[in-house]
Amino acid sequence: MNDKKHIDRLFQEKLKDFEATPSNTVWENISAELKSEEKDRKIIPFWLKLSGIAAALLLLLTVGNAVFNSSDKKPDQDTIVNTDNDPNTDSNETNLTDKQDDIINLDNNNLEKEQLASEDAEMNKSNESQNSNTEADKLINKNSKLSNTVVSTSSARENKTSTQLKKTTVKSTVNDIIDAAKKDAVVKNDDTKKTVEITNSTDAIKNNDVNKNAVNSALNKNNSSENTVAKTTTEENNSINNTEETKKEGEIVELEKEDEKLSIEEVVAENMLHDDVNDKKKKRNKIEDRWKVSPSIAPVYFNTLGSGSSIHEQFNENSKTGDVNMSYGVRGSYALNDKLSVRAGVNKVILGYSTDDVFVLNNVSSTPTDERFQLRNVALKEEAQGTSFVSVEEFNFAQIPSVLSQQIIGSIDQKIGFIEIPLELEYELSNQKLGLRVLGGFSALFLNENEVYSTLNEETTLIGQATNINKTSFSANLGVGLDFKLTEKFKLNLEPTFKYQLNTFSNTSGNFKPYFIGIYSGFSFKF
Amino acid sequence: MSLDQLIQNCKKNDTKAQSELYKLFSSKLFAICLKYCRNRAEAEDNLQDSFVTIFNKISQYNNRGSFEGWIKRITVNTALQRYRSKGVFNIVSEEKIEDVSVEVENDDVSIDFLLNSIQELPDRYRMVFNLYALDGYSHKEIAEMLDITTGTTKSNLARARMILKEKVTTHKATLNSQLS
Repeated sequence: MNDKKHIDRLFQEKLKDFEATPSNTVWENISAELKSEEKDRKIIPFWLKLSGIAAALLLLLTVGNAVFNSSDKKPDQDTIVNTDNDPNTDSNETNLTDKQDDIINLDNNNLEKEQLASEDAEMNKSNESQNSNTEADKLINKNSKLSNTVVSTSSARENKTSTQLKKTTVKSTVNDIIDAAKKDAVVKNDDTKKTVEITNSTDAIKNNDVNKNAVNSALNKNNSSENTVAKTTTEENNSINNTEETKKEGEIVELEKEDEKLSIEEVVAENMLHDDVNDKKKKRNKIEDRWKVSPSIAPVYFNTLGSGSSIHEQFNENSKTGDVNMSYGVRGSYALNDKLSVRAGVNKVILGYSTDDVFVLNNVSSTPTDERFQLRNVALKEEAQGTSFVSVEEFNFAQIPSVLSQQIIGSIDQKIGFIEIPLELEYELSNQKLGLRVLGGFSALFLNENEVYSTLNEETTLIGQATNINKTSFSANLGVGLDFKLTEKFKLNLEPTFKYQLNTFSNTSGNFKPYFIGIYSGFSFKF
Repeated sequence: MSLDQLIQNCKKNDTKAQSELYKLFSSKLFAICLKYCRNRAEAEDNLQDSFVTIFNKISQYNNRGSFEGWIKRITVNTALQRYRSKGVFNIVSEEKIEDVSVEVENDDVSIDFLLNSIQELPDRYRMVFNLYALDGYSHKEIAEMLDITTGTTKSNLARARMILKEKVTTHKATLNSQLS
């Protein structure tokens, strides 16, 4: 064997069919890595799914919202007027909605115009709110003047209505005037504004000079219809004015309150003045606050009400220990009105419980496991095929030791994971700093994890998976919600919720009634 | 179960199929790892990384070309990646050398010895020698894979051969002296 050979060929020939066995740890590492990666991968689609569902929900409710609003427009206005007592309204503005109602009803004919005007008002208001933030006293003073006149004039009208006791006729005339004025205000908004400003300023001088007592005289003066026109146009303009003004008016009102008999009328005046503004404000508030999104996380405790078993009838009487696992998710809610909202979301939830007092037996002989001791509802893995599970209840204790040599008392642990899509109604009982709600509804549960373990001497082995868990099932939910208002839009929530599983398991034995309780905590954000 | 079926099941992340596939190919791929890596430990690391890549990318395997070729390529690439990422390719000298005769007497040398000799080569020499002499890649392909010029691959190959020849001859000499 002395023939020379190229070094490449030497290596080629020798290593051609070379194989080598890696150590066992390599596969263990690989499978461990694959498992962890699988988990990572699972999470991404889960969030993808979640966002998809959220988007769909959003779309659905947006469409619903549009339909809802368009059909509800007119009644909405009425209700807003009627529920004027809301905490939303300024402290100065109290009830006496009757008159408003009347006016609104009369005004309904001119709804379009009113809307136009109030649109104007909104625009101006936003402008002015900026102003009020930045501009100096000058403007505020001007505003206060304006409001002075407005208060006086409108309270004048109120005074008139009340003192003359000709409510209806006056009202109608007043409203006619208002309507006319509104027309004017809409058609030549700028012009009227100017003229009104002029009248205002003159009034203002009067008002500034004269104090509370002078109000009365102003009232008397204002009996003339011209003044009422001016007043009503100011009303229009006033709806333009911002909250700054309201404050000033408030002050004036307080001054005037000393004149006790006037107070109510002032309030009426206030109401009338801010009628438009408030209507708009409230409407917008409502729409703005309809949506709420709340992520939450909860410890969930799973157990059964009855004494059955989801695994095998022999375990019916065994004690079951519920596990505490985590559930997390996000939900969106949509306020149907100020009390009732509908909500939906998506949660990931993992449940588990143990069936205690089970003998787990590794079959010593090769004889097939007695059918009685196979788990009816569990598909065993290959490695676990030779294992029998026998309830302690099946034995007299005297029988145990000699017959079965490798027995140990253990438990069968079941772990189930779901993607939960809850659809619930929420009714607000209290809307204070600390809010209280009740909620009820259903959840759709989509199975995504299903494992059965046996636990022996603290050692847990996966033995298979349950065959009797429905891929899709439902639960009935009932809960109480507490929230703590941090700001108008931002709340902290706590919701203990009881969820009774309706058809999660099929083919159970005994009286197996699974449920889970979650203490959902999180926060919510309105928009 | 046929290989195709096994691959299909692996695509579904079936743990059992993955284990089967590993059993089927691990020793072949481990041999590759041993050749391309510095030692057994690194070879095992490389095998692990390779299989993880294989299982993660198995859905991309579309039955074009042999499956074995595909997984071997992944294994080789994993090894190349391993030493490329460590920046060790740059530490060897780039000067050109003559292509001298690298013939050795054909004698019985153990696989273990040959394997050891390869593993002891500097990283780049080892890569080039493996790719060219044992796995039949051309200089052009190797140059692309390692992002170097064909001149460099040729020079690396020549140096690798020299070193290996030296090792084999001295090894034989010691063997002979032990025998006599």
